[in-house]
Amino acid sequence: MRKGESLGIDIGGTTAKYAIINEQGEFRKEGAFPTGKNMKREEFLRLLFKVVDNAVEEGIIGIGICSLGILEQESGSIIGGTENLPFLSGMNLKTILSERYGKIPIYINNDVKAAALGERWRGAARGCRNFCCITFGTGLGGAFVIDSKLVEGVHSRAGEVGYLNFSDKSNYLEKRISTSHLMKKAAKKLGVDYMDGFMFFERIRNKDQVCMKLLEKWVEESARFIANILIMLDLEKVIIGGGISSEKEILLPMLNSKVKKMVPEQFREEIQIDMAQCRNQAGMLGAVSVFYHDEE
Amino acid sequence: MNDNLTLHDVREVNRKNILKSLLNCDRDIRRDELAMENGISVMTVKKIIAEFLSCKIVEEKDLQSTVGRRPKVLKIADLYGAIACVSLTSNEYFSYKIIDFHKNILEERQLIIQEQFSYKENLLQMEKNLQKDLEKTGLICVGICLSVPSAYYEEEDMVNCDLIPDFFNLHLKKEFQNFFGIKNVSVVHDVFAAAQAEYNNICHANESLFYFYVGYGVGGAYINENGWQNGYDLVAGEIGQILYQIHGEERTLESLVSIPGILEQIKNECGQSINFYEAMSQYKRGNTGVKKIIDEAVLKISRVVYNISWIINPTYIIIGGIYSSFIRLVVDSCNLYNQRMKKLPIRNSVQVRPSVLKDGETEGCYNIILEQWIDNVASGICEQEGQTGKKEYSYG
Repeated sequence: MRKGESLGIDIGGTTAKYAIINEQGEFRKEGAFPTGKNMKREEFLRLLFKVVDNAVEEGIIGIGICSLGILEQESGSIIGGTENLPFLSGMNLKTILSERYGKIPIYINNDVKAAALGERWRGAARGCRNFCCITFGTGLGGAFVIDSKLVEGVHSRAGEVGYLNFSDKSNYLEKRISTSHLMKKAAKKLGVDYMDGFMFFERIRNKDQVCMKLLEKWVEESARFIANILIMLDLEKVIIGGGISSEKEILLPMLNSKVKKMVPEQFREEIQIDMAQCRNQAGMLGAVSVFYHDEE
Repeated sequence: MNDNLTLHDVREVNRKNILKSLLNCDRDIRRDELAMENGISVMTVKKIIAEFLSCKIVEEKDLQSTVGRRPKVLKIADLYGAIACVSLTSNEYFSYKIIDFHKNILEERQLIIQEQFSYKENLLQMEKNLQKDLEKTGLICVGICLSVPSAYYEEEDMVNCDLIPDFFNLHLKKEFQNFFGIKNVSVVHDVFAAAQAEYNNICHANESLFYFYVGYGVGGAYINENGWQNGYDLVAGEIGQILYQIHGEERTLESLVSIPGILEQIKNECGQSINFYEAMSQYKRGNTGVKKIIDEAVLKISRVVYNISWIINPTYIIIGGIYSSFIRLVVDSCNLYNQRMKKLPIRNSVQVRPSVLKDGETEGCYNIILEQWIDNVASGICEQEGQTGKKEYSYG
C-alpha cells in the first residue's frame, strides 16, 4: 500500500465536499463549497482550484473526485445525468486538472461507483470480491464490483439501475422506488405538502398505517429488484446506500425476509444485505482509494 | 512483454505460441516462418521444435521442391489429436462429438438414458461407447470436455444437482479421468461454454459479452477480459429465475418465455397442444392468439436484455437458442425496445445480436480442451511423460 495523503472531493447537487485523506482513510481539513443549478462553470472552477491549490501545497499524492452524472472513463468527460448541475455537462475535469496540476495522479468517477469503492475500503464491503451498492435517493443509482473490479461498462453506463424494469408497468424503477418517489407518494396519500425521510420513518415508528402500506409496497418492489440482481450476478453482498441507510433496524429485516422468499433455494443461504457504513464520506474515500490499492 | 516473466515463463509462452501457430496453419510451415510469425529467434524455435519432435507432437518432412536444397517443414503429428465433447445437459439422453484438430467432426452420437439402469450405469455405458468411438479414430485423445446444465464446483468435483438430481455425489471429472486414463478433463456449465465460444468469435481486448440463451430453459453468462464471471457461489447467470411481475402475479422469466413456457400458454389460452415449430408457423401466418403470446414473451425478453444493458453494460449481448426464427424475432424486438427507450435522459446503445454459431456449446468445449492441452504441453507435460504417452490417451 502506498503512503501519503490525498485530496478527496465529492461534487453534489448543492455542495461540493472535500477533505484531506490519508492511507488509513482518516479525514482532516474537511470543508465544502456551494454548487447549484444556476452556478457558472467559471465560478465552480475558481472555488475548486482554490481547494486543490491548498491541498497541493500540503504535498498530496493524488486527487480523487466523485461527481453526480455519468462519467466516461476513457475520456474523463461528464456525459450525462447533470440536470442538477448543468455547468458540469461535457466538462472534462480530468484534463482541466491535469493541465493545471501536472503529474499529480487524478481519478474521477461517478458518485455511486466511488461510494462502492469507499465501502470496499473502509465500510460494509470490506473483503468482498463480488458486491453491489444501490443508492436510494432523488434517483436510484448502482455500482457493481465483480471479481474485485468495478464494472464500468462499455459506454460507462453500468450500474444505471434506475432505468431497469422488471414488470409489465411502463414506469422504470427510478420512478417507482427512489426515495423521492416514495416521499411524494406518502405526501399525496397523507394530504400534506411535504414529506422527507425523517418524517416518514417517524410515522413508521408510530405505526402509521398509510406509511406502513407504502413501505411494504416499496420493500416488495425493492426486494424483487435486489433478488433479480442476485439471481443474475450471484453477488456476495448487496449494500444499501442513501439517506434510508440510517433506518437499518426497520428496513433490513423487511428486505432480508422478502428477498429470501423471492430467490431460488440455491441463493438463500448466502444472501447478505447490509446498509452502507461510510455515509457521506463513501464517495471521497472511494475516489482516493485507488491511490492506495491496486484493484482500480 | 511483462517484466515479471521468468525465463521459464518466457519459454512456456513461446511454446504455446508456436503450438498455436502450428495448429492454426493450414499448410506445413518452416522454422524461420514460425520465428517470424511469433517475433522470436530461429534458434529459440529450433530448441522448442526439438522438444516437440522428441515427444512426437510435431512431425518434420522435406518440402517438395524441384530445385536446390529442400527445406524441412513442420506440422502437428498426424496422430494428434481428438477432442471429445460430451453433453450431459439432458436427463433423457447423453450425446457426444469427437472432433479432430482440423475441427472435423469424426463421430457424433446420442444415447438414450435407459430407465431400467441407474444414471451411473448409463454413464458407464456411454463411456464405453465413447471409448470405442475414440479407438476408431486412430487418433490420440488430448482431452474430454463434459458440459453440464448447472454450476460445477471444481474443488469438490461436483455438479449442482437441482436440474439433474442424479448428479448428486457424482464426481464426473475424476470418473472420466480414471476411465480414460487422461488428465485433461474439464466439466463446464453449458451456457458458459457457449458464451466462451461467442466471446472468442466476436470480442476484442477489453470487450465484454453477455450470452442470453432462450430455448427449453433460459440461462445466461457474462464474460469479460478476466474470463467467466460466475459469481460468489458460481451460480451467476440464472436469468431464467428472474422474477417478473405480471398482472400483480410473481412469475419466473423461464415460465413465461422458454419454449415449454410459451407452449403451455398456447395450450391454456388457445386450447392447442402444438410443438414450437408449429407455433412459429402459426405466428407467421398471423394466428392472433399465438401471435399475442409469442409477442408478449419476446417483449419480456427485450425488457430483461435492456435491464442487463444497464446493469453491466457489456459490449455485446448475444441471443442464442434452438429456433433461429424465434431468436431473430427476439433480437429485432430488443433493438426496437432500445429505440423506444430513447426518450430516457441517457441513451444506451449496447449491441444485441443473434448467435451465429451453429453449436456454440460444443465449440466452447472444444476450445477449452484445446487451450488446456496447449497449456499442458507448454508447461512441460511432454518433457516429463509425453514420450511414453502415459498422460495422453492413445489408440494409435
